[in-house]
Amino acid sequence: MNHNFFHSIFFILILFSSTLFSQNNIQNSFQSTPQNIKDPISNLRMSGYFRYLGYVRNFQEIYPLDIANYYSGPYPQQTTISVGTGYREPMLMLSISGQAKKELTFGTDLLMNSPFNGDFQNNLLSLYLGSNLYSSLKTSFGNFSLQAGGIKWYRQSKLTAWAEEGYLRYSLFERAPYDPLTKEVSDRYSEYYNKGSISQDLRFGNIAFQGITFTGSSINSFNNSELSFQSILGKTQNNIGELISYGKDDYAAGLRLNNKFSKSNFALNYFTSITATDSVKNNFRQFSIYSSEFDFKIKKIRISGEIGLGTYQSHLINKRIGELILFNLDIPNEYTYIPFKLQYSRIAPEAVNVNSSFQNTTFSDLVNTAVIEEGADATILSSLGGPINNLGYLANNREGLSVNTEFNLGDLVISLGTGFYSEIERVNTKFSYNHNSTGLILSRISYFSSGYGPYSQFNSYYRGVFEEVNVGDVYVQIADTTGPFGEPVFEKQNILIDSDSLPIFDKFYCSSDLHLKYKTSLLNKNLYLFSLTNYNTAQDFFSLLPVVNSTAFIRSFNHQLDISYELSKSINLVFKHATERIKCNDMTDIDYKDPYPNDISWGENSDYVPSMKPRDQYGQIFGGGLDIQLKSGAYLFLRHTFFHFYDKNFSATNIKGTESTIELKINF
Amino acid sequence: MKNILLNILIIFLASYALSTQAQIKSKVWYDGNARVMYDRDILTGDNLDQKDTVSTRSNGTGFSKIDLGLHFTPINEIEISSSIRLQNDFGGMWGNRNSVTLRSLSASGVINNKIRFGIGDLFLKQSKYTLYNYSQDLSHFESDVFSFYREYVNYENYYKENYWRLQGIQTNFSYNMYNIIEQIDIDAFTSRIRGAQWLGDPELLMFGGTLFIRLNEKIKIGSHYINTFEIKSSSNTDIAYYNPVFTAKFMYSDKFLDMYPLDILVEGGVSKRGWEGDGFAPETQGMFFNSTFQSKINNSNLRLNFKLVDTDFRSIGAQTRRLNYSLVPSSYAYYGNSYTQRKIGLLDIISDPDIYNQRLSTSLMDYNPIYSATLPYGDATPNRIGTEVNIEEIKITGFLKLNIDAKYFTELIGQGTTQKRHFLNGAISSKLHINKIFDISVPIIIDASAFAENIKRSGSEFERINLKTNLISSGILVGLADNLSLVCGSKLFSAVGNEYLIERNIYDQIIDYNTANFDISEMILVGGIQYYFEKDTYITMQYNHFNMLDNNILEDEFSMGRLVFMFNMNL
Repeated sequence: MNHNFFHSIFFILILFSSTLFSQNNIQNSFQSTPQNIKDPISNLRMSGYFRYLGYVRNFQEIYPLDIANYYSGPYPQQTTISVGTGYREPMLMLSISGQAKKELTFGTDLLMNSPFNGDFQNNLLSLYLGSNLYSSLKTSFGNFSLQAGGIKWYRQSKLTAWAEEGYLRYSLFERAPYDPLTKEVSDRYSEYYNKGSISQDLRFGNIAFQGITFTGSSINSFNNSELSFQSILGKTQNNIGELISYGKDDYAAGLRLNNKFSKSNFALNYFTSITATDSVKNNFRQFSIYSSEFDFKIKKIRISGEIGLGTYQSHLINKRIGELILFNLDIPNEYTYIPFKLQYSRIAPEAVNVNSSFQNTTFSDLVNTAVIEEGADATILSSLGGPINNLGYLANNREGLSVNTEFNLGDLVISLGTGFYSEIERVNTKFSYNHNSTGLILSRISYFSSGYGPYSQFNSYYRGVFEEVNVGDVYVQIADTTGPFGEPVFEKQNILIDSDSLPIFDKFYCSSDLHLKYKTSLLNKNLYLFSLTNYNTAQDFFSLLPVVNSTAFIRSFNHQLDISYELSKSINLVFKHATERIKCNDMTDIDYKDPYPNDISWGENSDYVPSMKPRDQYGQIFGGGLDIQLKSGAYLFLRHTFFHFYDKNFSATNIKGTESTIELKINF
Repeated sequence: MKNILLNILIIFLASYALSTQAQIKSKVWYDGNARVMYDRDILTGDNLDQKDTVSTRSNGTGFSKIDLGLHFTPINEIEISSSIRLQNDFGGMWGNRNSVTLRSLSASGVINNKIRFGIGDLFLKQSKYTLYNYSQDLSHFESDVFSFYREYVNYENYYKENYWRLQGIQTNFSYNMYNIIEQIDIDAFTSRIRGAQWLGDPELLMFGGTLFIRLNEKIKIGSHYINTFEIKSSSNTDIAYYNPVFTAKFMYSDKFLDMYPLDILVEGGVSKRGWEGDGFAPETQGMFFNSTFQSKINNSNLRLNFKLVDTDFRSIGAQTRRLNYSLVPSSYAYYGNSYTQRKIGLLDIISDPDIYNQRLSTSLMDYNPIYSATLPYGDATPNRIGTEVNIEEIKITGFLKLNIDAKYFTELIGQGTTQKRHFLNGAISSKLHINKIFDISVPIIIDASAFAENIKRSGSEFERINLKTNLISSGILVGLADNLSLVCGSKLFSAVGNEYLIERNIYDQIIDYNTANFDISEMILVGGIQYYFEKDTYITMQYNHFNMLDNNILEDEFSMGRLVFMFNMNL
């Protein structure tokens, strides 16, 4: 059969069809394509923001790099110009949501980024937090909703699933990419002064969860009370490490039953996480928390808290059970002139939960799997060393008491508190501390990295840096002995460590905050002053208050002063000054060796003379900027900062420079 | 000629678009699909500690995806459609394991209220012998319990009814003449089946056309033509594939005894398939004949069919199978201490979209005779002659309905022998509304079906074939509250007997036969809950248990459990 013959026939028919034929119905079964009859979505909403962040950093002083088999020499990039700071932050965040039916909605969000570096290949279009499906059902029995899909910001209770927000004492100068825009330019500062907090993104205080969430509310319970519940089954951000490979068991599940009475509230909580640690799943690890919450008043004294049990087990460790107690007492000013918040906490070393408000300091396996994925690279970022936390931030293997208060003296708002904690069980000889003031700047030197810096001392996480400090190795000068150049000679002695490398001392911690907020006017314009002081120490003896002398292993002092001046209704002038001091005693790591023994390779063969002294760090920040409201929902934020971070004894740590940012953020 | 036709179509459509672009003011509407699915497979079975020390005991995957359909109407009766898939896999956060992809892009419309056109991603179908996407194996009379899996598999593979999803240009129009010929309907399309490959195969294009002539209300005659061919000059080769198929059909509609609607279809056609420039390739020519009688008596649909398909009848568009047995299943592709590759089983056929095929195949694809032997390539299965009877919606009582399907076919010529295979295939299904019997307010529905297939070939011992397969499916739905139901179901499958598995070369010539003895049993048990908001919008959570046992290789028994959650939302 000659197929060209048929081609010819159809060619002629089609060619002349439009001129020869008329027709009144073109939808017949002879058609090769189907009929499309669709009921479109009733509405689709798009919202989001555009955020351009121009960033310029110039180092005046910076340590050289010595990366084995890769690079050795002076820091190669004294000036950094970038669009965005390096984190995965959207330049355009487009949130799309729609309603398929009355009780069915969906949502997704897109992230669009361009580095604006002349290379158009690096433009990025991807999902930001993921796609979610929601359903809700209102019945006479109660209201129920189910959500499944991408990231949901979730919290259950402090001991089960929670991201700790502390006592809301922080500096306002630096803006986070997810900080919402305010209605008025000065609202960020006036709200913080008046309410003690600022408007935050949905993620604040929540953990990222992916999976199925099923909740119920308004369910009639006994004694005219109201029952509600929330449950999850899926993965938190700590269950995505893919330790073995994709698909292997790594799940979290949680359940909360809450019964609300007119003046009190009681809840039962359960949370568990199980992870397979080998390909067959013979090996695993699991931790669980069982707790009950309470919140009631006796007269005007509010009593709240959470009490429970935590378990941990793995193929190597039989189930270990420990207690968790979090007890809060709020005493109003009617009784004591000024209000007090007392908190007692005791979290056993066996109780662990990396998704809760307290930090894990006992199980090294869980630290290693606290993985945060950024693009394709997973990073391991947390310390097992005893963290010297700010007030309100808890850790396991610790028991302690804190007291906080907030009151006004005229226009001065005083918020202060102090707390002391002791370790329950000796685990290791390490401590860790955060750089409260300089952490953001230091973290931008190397994103999500462990062991960078001249002494490999910095470990960066999202917008922060921590350092680990070892205690126990003491260098004692050998009398009547000198080195070849006449320098003193030291001998290492382990006076705080036993033969099994375990500590023979107990860890004690003290934390204190003083937050002053003051509002006044200057030239008939509002002026806000915020002074935040944190002073935290770690030592091997009990102390009610932070230790002020060198008997403490580590003393961490931070002071941050923010000034906001309302130049006009649309322009705010902001300033910042921060001081950071970290001082360790001679029981901690000392500077005893050249950090760049091969520095001859880049021509800096100067003799490095170790100071043989412990950390003595200084941080200074001076910053200024403008918040400019261009239109309602459109802001321009300008910041310029001078910073200097150095260590008097670890002399190679000397980082000095400036940072400038220009942020244009437009909501739609 | 082919190129000329394509060029003219493109120029015609492009010039029309250019002439109208000045008046653009788009209207936009949206549709699509949103789905979240999580599953966790669990390896089960006895003595796993001895039999299988290497396979993971469980494996979980999942995703949430939104296929957002964007439809622009820049000009009246012209629509530009695209579907963007926004997907993130379970366990991917902060940019990891997520993707934004274009799922489809097309434009369609009507020109001058006369000519309908479509361009881009198209769903195309013609006759059952030219271009037709037959349902997958063992999907007939399936219980509703399994329908969410089926819907998922079909959606992911772009299986829309029996259309193939192809990319190209399509147009159609009708012309009313009001004389001896009442109406002429014409449809034509061209499609790019396979694009250019660098130093690879040449372009594979398809061109198709349909002409229907309605003589009066009762009689229609028509013909289909389709040709799939390679463009030799598009690659570094001297060989070009071609496969034209031509059919003619007669359609008659009337009323039988002035009471019962009657449809008669008689269709016949010829095909040619070869590789131009390949001295080893045979040029095969084949034909088919099909006649169908269809009526509706007492609300029951009756269909009688006789068909004959020549051994050498080849039609790429109608003989491409959905299931691709050369792929490996997604769940536990390998298992056991010997790391055995698992054969595609019933659970995979039901639930795994990754073992399905979306491309037309120039050669006959392999099939597994235990799952489909009578008509593995649908009605266009070559080397078959036989008849089938199909009666649907037989109302026994107010609460019980039956469907019956029976086929008997034989080979036209024997394979490797003068003896011919005989195929006997029967299926029956019923749906019983228990709640209607006992006057219960909540629905309690039982549906069940039985399928049996027997392949027989007589002759001497080495010629004899006797393979019996059975599938019993059932499902129970018990309403718990409004739209909330408890569901459970089962599929019990067995295949006993022997067959000769055919090995073909790229020209579809049989080059070998492999003896196969089957003694296989498979079991699927499911149970769970589902909440239906409306059709295609539901939430379900189920546990599945699957067991596959080959009694000839007992140590390869495979058992698996699966917890599956699906939230599907049609937008």
